[in-house]
Amino acid sequence: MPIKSYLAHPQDGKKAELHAALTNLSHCEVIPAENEDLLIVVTDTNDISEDKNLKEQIESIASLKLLAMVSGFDTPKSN
Amino acid sequence: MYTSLTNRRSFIKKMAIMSAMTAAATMFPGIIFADEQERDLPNGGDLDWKKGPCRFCGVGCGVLIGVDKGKAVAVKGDPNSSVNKGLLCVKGYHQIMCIQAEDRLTHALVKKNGKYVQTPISEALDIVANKMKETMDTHGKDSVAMYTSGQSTIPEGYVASKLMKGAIGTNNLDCNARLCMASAVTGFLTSFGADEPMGCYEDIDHADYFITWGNNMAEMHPVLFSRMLEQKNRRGAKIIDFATRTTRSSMASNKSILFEPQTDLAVANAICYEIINNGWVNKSFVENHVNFNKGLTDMGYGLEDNYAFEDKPTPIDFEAYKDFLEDYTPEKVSKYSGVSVKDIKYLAEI
Ligand code: SF4
Repeated sequence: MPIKSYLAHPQDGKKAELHAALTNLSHCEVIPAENEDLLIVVTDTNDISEDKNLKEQIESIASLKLLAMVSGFDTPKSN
Repeated sequence: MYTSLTNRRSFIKKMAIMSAMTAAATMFPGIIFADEQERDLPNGGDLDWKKGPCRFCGVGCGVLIGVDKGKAVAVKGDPNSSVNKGLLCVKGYHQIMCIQAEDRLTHALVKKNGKYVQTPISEALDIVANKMKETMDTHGKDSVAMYTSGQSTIPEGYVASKLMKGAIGTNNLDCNARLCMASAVTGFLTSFGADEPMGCYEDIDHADYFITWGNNMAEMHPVLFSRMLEQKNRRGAKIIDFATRTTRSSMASNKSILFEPQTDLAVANAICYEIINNGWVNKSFVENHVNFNKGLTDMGYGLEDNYAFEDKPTPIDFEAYKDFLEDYTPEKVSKYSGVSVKDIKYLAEI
């Protein structure tokens, strides 16, 4: 049950586009900064393979310049 | 950072968001996220906040630990600490997780018949004391040693010193700093002539340029990096990230310059070539404070099996150094370092 948070840097002028693309993904929460070109992405998946797939999907978004992981947790689903 | 922990998963998710917000703030001081999202983050509740130092690295941040019913459940940066002014890095934010980690050693284990057996601490300490005494009786006081940690607090170090030097009477007291700080000291001495880092936190408030040379400070030393960013925003100080890969430091800098691994020494030489050939040398500084030595220019990779090399630095003069740099013109170095001639000249001009 991995939970991870990332900082996502958009390509120049592509913040809104990146926000929209990320919002479309399931298991993915997006918190855009109001005054900087930066978005926080939190992923909450059921297992490692789902987590890996989601990360690959995020990294393939064209408007993304850099995805940097900040924290990662693995936690049981039951609690 | 606190919740009743009834929903550990949502708590962890909030911590993940909090960590990301903190990391973002170290790169973009003053960054704002939507109010409603911040409101949703765990707050201090009615925790009892205890003061302490973060012991993960040498920055020495002040932390406040939120304690609930005798258990550390939250952590935040101490706003009154002059070092970190309320900020912490990701390591600092996660330290309560280490305290509560399942695999943490929480009781003494003594090896009996090849197996570690849980033993009361007083009994374990008696075993250590008896073994030490036995060894000293047979072989003398220098037959025992204590190996401690560079992360010990001052009182812990004091007690260790008193025990080993004062009570037992041996100098056999050492710690892991022998492996890291001692080599740093040798490096500082040979490069700068003094056994300390060549700067202090206050220098950051006066510098015009920062070059993070092979050092991803935004992630590795985010608390110090935030001080540099503050100067960037407040006074227009410039940050140049010089590294082998694009990182958060590159993103937060004014300029990112990438080089091929293992070529940065050549770039440093090319910078010196430019400085000398443009007549920008501070002659009196060089005369009074700089020694020139020539050593091996190719010492091999260093990580192969049975690696060994011999090198004897030979003193040379400034003119010989200048001749040596003919091999390091920006044009030549640019070819293998991947750094453009323009960027090498830019670094030299700073
Ligand atoms: S920079 Fe991070 S690891 Fe170092 S003392 Fe501060 S919080 Fe701890």
